Amino acid sequence: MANRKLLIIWKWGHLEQSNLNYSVASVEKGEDFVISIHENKLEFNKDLWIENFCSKELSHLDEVVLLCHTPDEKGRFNVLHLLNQSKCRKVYPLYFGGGKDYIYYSKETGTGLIDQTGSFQDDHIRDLGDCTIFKDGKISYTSFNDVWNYYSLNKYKEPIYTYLREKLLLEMFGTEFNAPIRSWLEQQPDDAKTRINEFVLGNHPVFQENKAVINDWQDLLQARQDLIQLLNKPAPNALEIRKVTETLLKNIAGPIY
Amino acid sequence: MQVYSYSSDSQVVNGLISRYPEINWVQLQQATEINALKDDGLILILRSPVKVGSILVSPEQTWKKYLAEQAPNCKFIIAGFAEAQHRNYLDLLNLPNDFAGFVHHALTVAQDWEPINTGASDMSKKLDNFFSGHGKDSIVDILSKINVPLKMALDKYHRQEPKNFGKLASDFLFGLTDNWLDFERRWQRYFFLFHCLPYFDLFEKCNILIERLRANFDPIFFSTWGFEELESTRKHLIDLEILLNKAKKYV
Repeated sequence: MANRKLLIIWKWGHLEQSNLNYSVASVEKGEDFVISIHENKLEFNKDLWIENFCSKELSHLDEVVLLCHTPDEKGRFNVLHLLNQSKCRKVYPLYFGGGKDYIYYSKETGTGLIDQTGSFQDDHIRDLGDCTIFKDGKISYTSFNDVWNYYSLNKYKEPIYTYLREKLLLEMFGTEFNAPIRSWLEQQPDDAKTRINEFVLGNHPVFQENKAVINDWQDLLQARQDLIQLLNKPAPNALEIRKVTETLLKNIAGPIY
Repeated sequence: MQVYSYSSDSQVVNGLISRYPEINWVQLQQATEINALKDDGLILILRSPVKVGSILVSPEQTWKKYLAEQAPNCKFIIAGFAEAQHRNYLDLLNLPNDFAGFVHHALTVAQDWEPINTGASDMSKKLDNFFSGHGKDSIVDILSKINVPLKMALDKYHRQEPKNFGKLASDFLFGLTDNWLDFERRWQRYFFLFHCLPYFDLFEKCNILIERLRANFDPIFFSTWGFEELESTRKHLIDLEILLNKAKKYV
């Protein structure tokens, strides 16, 4: 089984004035890690330290979810640079922001890892007493696992929306479209193609262990089956594509970033 | 009937032209071109989502808010592939046979209705984050960290006898270049997204001021500042704040 590493590129308070570019926190049970990288450090001397970081902290056994604080074109370039250096099994770049994302600790649900101001959630919360995601110096497994599962499923939402719901329907709009979607998908960018294929064919642990991140379990699985059939249909119907993709989008929790 | 459209892709407009050849279609190249049009009888189709940079955003909420003030009689119609029904939504997979009738029944932009959600990243939330932020992130907060010490320095300078700029700088201007970098980082993170907004011209003017200010906050030049630089920087910052406040109205 792959090691799960959650890389969070953010305005980390403990790294802001520090000489360190990143820090690593281990999760209970010892197999998973949260790596904090300060967003500003990606701009300076990035080549050298990122290369060192990747060789020291990442391996071919790792599955990485990389969470960047709000998208920007320059930041995107730097993150891509970071990804290109890594030799991990899988890396999924995603975005978060706005203070309301799943990664932020929620008093209502008790989920999330970070606070609003640059730290892991380990403060006193009014009406709730001392609340910390740390247990004996390690990040709580449940807190980590919830966050991991949320983003592991949410990562499929953007390519389903951008490619299947929007780009494919746009190409079909007002034209004859007689090729199977699978052939069309082959011509799309690697990252989108890989994610959609992985969503359709993969055996996702998240489907078994964490239903909280799926709005309607049965509908999602049915829509996934319908998508598999649609992919091979010789002359797909735009209305069917819309119906399937809307069901998928509705049932995967969280926004498109 | 003349219908204006704004879309980041040409296929939709071309498809509409071939489906409704009797309509006089005018495609806006820039979102800001809407400002040159007369409100009376204006019909505008916004194809959403809109592609900005490499991402898709849904700006319909923000457009509606802006148009409700600037062109209240406009028939504002959102066109998309989302499955939804609304008098102001043109479902591209289920186009009406009677387009003129559809437009006739659409509500004007100033009437009370909620634009349907076309599903991409919500531009109104992005603007809200940009202006209000959370934690210590608000653009206004970051700007005030620069503005307040500059104002204090200027006030002090006017009262100071004998004039001693070096003393003033060490008392008030310490750390300003770092705060400016923070401001610029936040600006760069969002600026590219604003292209799809009908009031992008306000942000463009901000960007011109920011470029001027960037030169002032260059650490080498900053170390040579005197009263003139202090005053001109403060003036640019006030202009910037005015522009940002104008744009903030439509969040």
